[in-house]
Amino acid sequence: MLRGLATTLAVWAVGFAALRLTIAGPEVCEAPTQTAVAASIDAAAAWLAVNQAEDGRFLYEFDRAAGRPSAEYNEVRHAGVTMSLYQLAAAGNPAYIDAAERGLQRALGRLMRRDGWAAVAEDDGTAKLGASALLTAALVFRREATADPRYDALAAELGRFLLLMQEPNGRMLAYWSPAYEGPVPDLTSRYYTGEAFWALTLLARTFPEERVWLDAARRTARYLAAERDEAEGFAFAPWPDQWAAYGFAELVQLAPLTDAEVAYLRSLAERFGILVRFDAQRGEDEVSTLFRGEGARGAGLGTWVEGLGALWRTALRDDRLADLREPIAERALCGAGLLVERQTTEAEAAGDPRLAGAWFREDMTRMDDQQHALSALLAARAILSHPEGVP
Amino acid sequence: MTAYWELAVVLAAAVNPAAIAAAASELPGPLRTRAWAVAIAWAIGAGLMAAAAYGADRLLAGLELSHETFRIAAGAVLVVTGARETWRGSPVVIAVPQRGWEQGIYPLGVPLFASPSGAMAAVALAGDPAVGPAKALSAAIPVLLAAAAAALFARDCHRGGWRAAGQLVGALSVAVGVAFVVAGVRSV
Repeated sequence: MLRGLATTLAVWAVGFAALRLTIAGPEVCEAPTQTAVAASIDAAAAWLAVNQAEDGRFLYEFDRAAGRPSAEYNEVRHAGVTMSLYQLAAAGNPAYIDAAERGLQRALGRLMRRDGWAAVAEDDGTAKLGASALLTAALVFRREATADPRYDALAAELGRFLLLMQEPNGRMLAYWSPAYEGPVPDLTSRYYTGEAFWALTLLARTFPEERVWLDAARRTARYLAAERDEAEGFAFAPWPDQWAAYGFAELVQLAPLTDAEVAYLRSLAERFGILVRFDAQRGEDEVSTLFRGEGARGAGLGTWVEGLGALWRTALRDDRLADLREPIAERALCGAGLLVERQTTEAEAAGDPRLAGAWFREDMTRMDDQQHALSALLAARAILSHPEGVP
Repeated sequence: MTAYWELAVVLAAAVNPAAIAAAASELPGPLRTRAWAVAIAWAIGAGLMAAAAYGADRLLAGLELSHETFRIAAGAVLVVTGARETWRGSPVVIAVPQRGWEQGIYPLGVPLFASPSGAMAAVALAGDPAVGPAKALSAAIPVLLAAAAAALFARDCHRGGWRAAGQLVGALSVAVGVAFVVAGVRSV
């Protein structure tokens, strides 16, 4: 009996160890405090501002091991970083608005205008939908932060570029090219569609008398919820699109969502949820890294928390998602806790401004790591400060 | 997966009374010895189920796991054990003892009535706030009673039938395991 029993228990122990090393590893995350979130936001924004060049360019990428910045740059990410600094200002912290203004001026210097629309141009004369969409969002947040309407006309011009890139079924084309004197046919982006959708909803909220924005947003909302994942060939639907989540968080304030849209948002929440849970299982020790890989980069984890934050706001407005309010908040705060924990501290940076406040993975950080983490922590702060927020 | 009958089906797939009966049919000894063995095994199995159900929250907290993630792990265990039972019809037992009380501990108690798949399913269900420990345990007890009855009356001549039934329930366990994994992955 003892031999059989011992053999059985040994097999169980091996099985338990295998589970523990793989799918049942500990999920180590704690909701951060308001103070910790505020400090983390401040450090992330400071990284963007302190490392910004005179011409408005942000530090694009930095290799900690080599001690060297990258020579690359990306206009879509520039617009995204600028947007996040205005988002911070609109959320009540104007300390970094000067950096946002410098970023905006640089983007304005790259505008091209045709037939009543405007777009952010690339060096080769093409225009990416994403850069113009995020610049639109930046202008909306700037308006909220400053109550200055000086760029309203430009926001409308950028909006008309988004409309130009929209197809009748709501699909958004990703690139405008001088070779076509129009959008490049059939070329879409997994990022830009959600970014454009969000920008359209922000325009609809800011200029409610101009019905065209809401109508366009609804077309893309339907496309995102019903068609996008299949039409654009995403193997594991839904594509975890935090931009779409942002857009629906705005749309739900303007018009009732359809059942298909609610179902899509539910599936998005599930996707963000498993991504955060899995990342929370990734420890920093070698055994954990061997079996579960290294933790997500700041941009990755940040986008998931941003998505959850936007879905939480949507769930507060739409009772069909009421059952998800608490789990979404719990998961978003878990992700925010991980962000706070993984951020490079002043002490770790030892006075190097290219390190302090940044999120590194494999010794690399890129400006959108700080951008998405900053926006994510703003979402977490909203949850923490809301009476229904903390589970 | 919160209705009583659903919980009972899940736990029946996890415990697999038919596979227990198939293994019990191979045990030596008269009915009196078997009855003693089954009573001990039932007590061990019910004890583990009760501990799993009522200790689920503390266990998950101790392991630092959300019940959603634990459900994925439970699903994986159900798939593996179910696949094994679909293949063989009953678990492998070695060095079978002759005395009834010893048979009650091994192999009837551990690993048949008290099995990893049963315990994992009980924790996964009891840890779900929509189910809770009382409901999970109340669904497990009849399953264990059915397993006890099957084990008590299983005879060598019935072995083929029990094995076939064990294989079917094993296939059900695989399906339930997959459903657990999908539900775990699709939870926020």
